[in-house]
Amino acid sequence: MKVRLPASIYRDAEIEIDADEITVEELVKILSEKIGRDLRKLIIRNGDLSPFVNVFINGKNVRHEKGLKTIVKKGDEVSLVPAVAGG
Amino acid sequence: MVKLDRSQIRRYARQLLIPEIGGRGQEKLLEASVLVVGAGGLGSPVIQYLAAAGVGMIGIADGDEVDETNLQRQTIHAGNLGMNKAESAAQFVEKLNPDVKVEAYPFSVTVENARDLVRRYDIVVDCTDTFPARFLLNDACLLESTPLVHSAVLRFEGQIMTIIPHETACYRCFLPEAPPPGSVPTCREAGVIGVTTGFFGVLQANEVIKLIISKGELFTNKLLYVDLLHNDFNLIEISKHPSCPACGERRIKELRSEYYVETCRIETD
Amino acid sequence: MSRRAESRQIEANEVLDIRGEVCPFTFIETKLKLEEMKSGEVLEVITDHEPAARDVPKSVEQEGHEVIEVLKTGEREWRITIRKK
Repeated sequence: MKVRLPASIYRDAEIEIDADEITVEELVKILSEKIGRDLRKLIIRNGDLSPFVNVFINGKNVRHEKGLKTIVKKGDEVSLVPAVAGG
Repeated sequence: MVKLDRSQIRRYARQLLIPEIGGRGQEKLLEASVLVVGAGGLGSPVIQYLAAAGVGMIGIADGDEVDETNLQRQTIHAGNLGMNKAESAAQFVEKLNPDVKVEAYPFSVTVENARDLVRRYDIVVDCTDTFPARFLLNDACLLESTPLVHSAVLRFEGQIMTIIPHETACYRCFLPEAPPPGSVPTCREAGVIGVTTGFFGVLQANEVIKLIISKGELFTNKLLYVDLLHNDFNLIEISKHPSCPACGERRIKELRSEYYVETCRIETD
Repeated sequence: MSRRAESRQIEANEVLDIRGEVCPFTFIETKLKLEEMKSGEVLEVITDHEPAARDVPKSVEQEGHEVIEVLKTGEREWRITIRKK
């Protein structure tokens, strides 16, 4: 599965994760180990999906699915979109 | 229906030649009214290009004054340090295109005045710079059934999304509530560059023009997130969600001041 | 003169006199006029700008309209007859 991170989260825009079927929560853990930065603080709040980062799997917001328990499959594309408000 | 005069045919010649615009499209533009909320980084290009294209009525709301730190990105306020931004922007429009009627609102949009302002216009453009203002505009536009073109930026990044109330996903479908205050850096803290606000502001103006002439495709039910530093373009599908606190099954019925503080959560009874 | 008489068989619904106009306004004025008309109606355009006598027919054809005739009607005058698509 391919994970796309915006520059404000991590300098490499695209990261490949080798896994068959994992939850978003597990993906965040693997991703954090891979990039050497704990993304859990950013993505998880009080055991739930943080309100200021949105996780999309193949264009669908996991907030509308099962949040951190949403399944990511091999070949899926995951995008992280931070909430920005500047203007 | 307005009829183009000689000088208008000259002014708009280049866009009259475009099949999707032509005389009919130009007349629609001249008859349209657009409210731009925020005359800052995003608002500058939005106001500039809408006025240039001949949008007949532009309302501009902003309670701030032009200061020196604004000028690296807010390109329409030349020579107007200390002036209210809505009034400064109105001056710019009057110089650029006498066809445009411009109304300056030298104050911020609030829970009290939002619906009344929104109601006077065909389309609203969100060029504000805080989460509460963005949620407020989203909710006011839903209540008034007024299309809204949203954009937000930071550093080299930004996003854009167009909302047709009750038809397409709204801002709260994308983001149900705001991050806790202080958790997300603002432009004031983390910075922004003029090319980012320019890029997204021009995209917003383009969405408005397409809405007016009813041509082309819009960023509806999708959000474009672009990292201009890495030229990373992400078009993300956003679905209108039944449990959205603003446009879902238990949709918002009124603006309440408690919806626009802290995390801007809507508590449904 | 016989051609002129012949062309008169097609009754124009509208006449657009754009003498004094130059390109690209000759085409823009023609295009705007056509937009106001109904499909199948005939427009007669009078111009005194030679390039327009060549370019206006080309441009209106590109937009799908039918150019019925381009006629030199005077030393510096042309009449373009167009049927709206």
